[in-house]
Amino acid sequence: MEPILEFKDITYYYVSGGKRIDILEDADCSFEPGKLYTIVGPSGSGKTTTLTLAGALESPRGGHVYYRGKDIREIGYTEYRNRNIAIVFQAYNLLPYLTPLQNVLAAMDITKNPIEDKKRRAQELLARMGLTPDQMRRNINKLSGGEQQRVAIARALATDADILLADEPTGNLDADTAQGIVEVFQELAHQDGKCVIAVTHSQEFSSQADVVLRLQEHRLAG
Amino acid sequence: MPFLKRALRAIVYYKKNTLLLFLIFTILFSLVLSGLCIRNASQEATRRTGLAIGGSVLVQSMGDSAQASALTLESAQKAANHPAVRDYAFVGQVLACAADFRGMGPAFEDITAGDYDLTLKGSNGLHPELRDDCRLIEGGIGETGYAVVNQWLADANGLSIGDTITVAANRAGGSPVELAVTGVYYRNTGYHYGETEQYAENMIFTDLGTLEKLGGGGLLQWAEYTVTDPADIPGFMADMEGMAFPEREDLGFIALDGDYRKVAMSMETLVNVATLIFAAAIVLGVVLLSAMVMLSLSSREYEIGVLLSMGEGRWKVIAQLAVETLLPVLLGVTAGVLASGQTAAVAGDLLGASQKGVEVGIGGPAIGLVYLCGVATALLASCVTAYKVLRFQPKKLLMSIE
Repeated sequence: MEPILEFKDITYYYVSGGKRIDILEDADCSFEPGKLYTIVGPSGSGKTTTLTLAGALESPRGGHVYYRGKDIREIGYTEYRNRNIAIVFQAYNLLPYLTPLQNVLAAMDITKNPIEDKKRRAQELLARMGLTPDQMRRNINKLSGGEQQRVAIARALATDADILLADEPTGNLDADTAQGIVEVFQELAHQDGKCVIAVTHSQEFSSQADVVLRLQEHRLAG
Repeated sequence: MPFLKRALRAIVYYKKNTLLLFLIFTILFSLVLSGLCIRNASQEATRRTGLAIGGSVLVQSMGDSAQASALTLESAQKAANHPAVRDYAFVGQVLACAADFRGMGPAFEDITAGDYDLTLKGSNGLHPELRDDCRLIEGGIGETGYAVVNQWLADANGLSIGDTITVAANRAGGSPVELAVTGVYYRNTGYHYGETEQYAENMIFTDLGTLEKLGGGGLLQWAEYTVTDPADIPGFMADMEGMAFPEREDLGFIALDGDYRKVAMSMETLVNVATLIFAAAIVLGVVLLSAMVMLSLSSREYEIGVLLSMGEGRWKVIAQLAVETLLPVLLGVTAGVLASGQTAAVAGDLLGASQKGVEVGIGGPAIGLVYLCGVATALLASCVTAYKVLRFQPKKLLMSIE
């Protein structure tokens, strides 16, 4: 299958205290739709950096990131983030002054989702994530961690992006809730054909991924 | 506009912040409007007081009367045409001789043989000396060719109203001028010294035209211009030079507006204080608002990062945060406008406005100005927002968690 996202000769480093710290060095990797990827590695190895490069939140020092064969620099970072990727954060990062339903609708407005009945689509997504109609209208702070993470995933799906990036999505959740989230990701990859790339420390999560990429010696090895 | 909806919801959600902003700006703009109110009322009170007190400008010839002076009737008349002038008085004087009657001397029959007997004092209306130092006991002044004579002179010469007297420019037979006696005056004190013409009884009041005929050359001793508004005096004095008195060496110009200046100075202090209150409130508003915006931004970095990572434009994020600032500020300004009505009333009482017929209140332009200041304050503080958001790196959101 044609990859949807590719890293070609990616190099990334930062300078700290006058010293160059290498994260990625001529790293190559490709990601296909319909698969769940996890990126693992010790702390500070560059897992989150890989995610930020994939999400156009950072520019590589060298090399290229391609989306469907096109350099994302040519697409434009804002446009790329707006249309092609969705990010789920460890800390959910929902807008606290909006209900779950309004959070999902906000994402649709920002990404200019062309769907006509946005409200119905938002409700469907939240229902798919297991939220009841009452929970959809509740104050965000009154939801559990797992419920908030599900809302975050629904918000990410509302953009109809092909690629879903997740940064430690189960980091703040208990085992049962975390398992529920993993199953959602699997469903999104296998049933919806999304390319799901998740950074995780969790062995349980990694073991259920289609592809596990390890960061070692500044490269991604699968 | 999605950012507008988010802004309105955020305003409700962060209600403590919103309320604080609202209260601060209610108080600040009450002060601003009070300052404006006091300032406007002070300026109006000054103007009204000025009109009531009045003021004038005195132009007088400083040189020897025998020398050329720029204070001619013609030049004085030019200055009188200035729009600031409400009224004017011109005064001149010439020495002359009594042709068909006798002036008073040390003894009536024993006239001192001087060059002149009489002092003729002319004015364009009632001569100030006749008005202030003498008492008209019979008749009054005429239009032209008239004489108002001293009671002693009239009695000594058997003169009465309706008689004519002839005066001459000098003993050597200068042009005689016939004058009609139209009035008699009494003067309490006279001075008797030196030449005959200095005897108070020998002072005759007449018109400026008569002085000119007697060889006065149209020269004046002084001209006093009463202005409608004493605030116009500096401008009038500056205009006079070009208008009427280009050669000023022999002339003295004196502003007679001491009383008005005393009032204006005390009001000016009030105006300055009010302006200071106004400016301080604006500066304080900007500083406070910027500080609050910065604090607020620090606690909402994740939220901003999420919006940017979703692909929201930075300027829309800035617009959202600007609306969250602007709306409470404008509501605070509105409350300040409503509250300042009370302050206006107090300011009015302090200034005694009602006695002066001055209405102390807040007009449309003042209200428009404070709203403009409110918007400007919010926009200036939004520059802080814009700076931070434009520099914000969404990756920090993820990197900070690692």
